[in-house]
Order: sequence, then C-alpha cells, then structure tokens
Amino acid sequence: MPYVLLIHMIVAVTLIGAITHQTLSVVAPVKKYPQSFFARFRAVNGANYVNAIIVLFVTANVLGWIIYPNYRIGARLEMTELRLFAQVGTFEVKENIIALALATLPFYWWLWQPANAERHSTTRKVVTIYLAMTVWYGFIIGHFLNNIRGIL
Amino acid sequence: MSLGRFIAVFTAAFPVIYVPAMSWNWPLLSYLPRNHEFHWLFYAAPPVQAPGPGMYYWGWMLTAGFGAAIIAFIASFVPEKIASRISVGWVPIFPICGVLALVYALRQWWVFG
Repeated sequence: MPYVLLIHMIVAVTLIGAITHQTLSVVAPVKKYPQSFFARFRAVNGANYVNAIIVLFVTANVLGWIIYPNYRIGARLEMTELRLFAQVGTFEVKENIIALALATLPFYWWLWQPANAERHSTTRKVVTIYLAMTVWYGFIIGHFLNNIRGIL
Repeated sequence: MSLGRFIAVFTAAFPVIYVPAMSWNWPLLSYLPRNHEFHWLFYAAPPVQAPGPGMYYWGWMLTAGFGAAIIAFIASFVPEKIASRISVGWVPIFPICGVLALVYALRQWWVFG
C-alpha cells in the first residue's frame, strides 16, 4: 500500500503542475513574448492540458479509492481515538469535494472544446479555477494528513 | 438529444443529490473494508468493532451519479426553445455551493469535536 500512496502523490504533483499552468494561462494570459519566469509559466496553451488533466485527475482518484479502505480502518480510527477531530474533518471535506470536482470534469472538458471555448470563456475560467483550488486543497490536506503519522 | 446539455445538467444535478446523500446517508451501496463485503443501500455497521466501520463514500457517489444521469437524460430532451433561456454560465454555481454546503454539513468535526 505505501507504493500506491507514493504513486498517488506523484500523480497529484503532476496534476498540480498541469492545472496550475492552465489556470494561470486563463487568469493572466500573456499577450506578448514572455520575458520573465512567471510570464513563461503562464504562456502555455491551456487547451493542450485538458486531456492530461482529466486523465491525471481520474488516475489520482482511482489510486485514492484504493488507499481509502486502509485509511478508513487504520489511520482514521487511530486519529479519532486521539481526538484529532479537526484533522479527520478536514480530510472528510477533501474526499467529498474531490467527488464533486470529479463530476465537474465532463463539463470542464466540454467548456475547453474549441467550439465552446470563446462563447463560454468566463464559465471556462470559473470552472478551471474551481478545479485548481480543489486540487490544491486536496494536495495540501493529503500531504498534511500523511505527515501526522510522522509527527505522532 | 444534446450532449452539451446532458453534461451541463449532470454537473449541476450531481452536487444537489450528493450533499443530501452524504448528510442523510443514502448510499447506493455500502462497503465493509475489514471483511471486503459489499451491501446494497445503507448497511449499519458498528463504527469501530468488526465487521465495521462501514464505508459509504463510494455509495454516495453512485447515488449522485445515477440520479444526476437520470435528470440530465430527461433534460437533454427538453425543446431547445425552452432550454436556451437558461445559460450554462449558471452551472458552476452548483458545485461551488455544493462545496460550501459540504463544509457546513461536516461542521460537527470542528464544532462538536
């Protein structure tokens, strides 16, 4: 199971990189030739990332589902016994908002299709930011919870 | 049948079903990880002792997924004249409000902890 957790983390890191590139490219697009590191970070074609983000998101989810039963009968019970309720609750929020984000992926894909991209650019921007925030929250909380074991 | 409308309605309907399914525990199936057992609908398992604890997360997703798919399927046959009055720009409000509702529904972890 530690190997699955490790692969889950690697996929999550790749996903966070891809979605951050894409989000910044729609929030602060680069108009001229990029000069700085930050400008080059934003100067990507967001549409090229859509399929990769969907595949990475689904893969990270499936790996999370494989790990989750172990967490449910192991780490979560221990944390509840130690009265770490806020930590358990923060992770509960993570798993449930990830479920909502997963259901948003088809709409995200549809908004990024060339036929809809221009017409629904604001909606596309909102959905992309929403997904990016979900991924960042999931990553930080997952990492934080994993570290609790080391701290304890 | 419009694919775009199906997808938009599915995205809007999923959180509307998921949040109550999670809050009032309406899973389509329950899983007992200790015994690797699946049960249809809600299976009341003890929270710590075997065969519990029960896992309902997958069941809530199935409840919301099937429910949203049925609603989206019906909505995809609504005549274009009526459907075009509602902008897809409203769709992201549903998952965003869903997140807020989830945090509120799970507040007991912080408030009563």
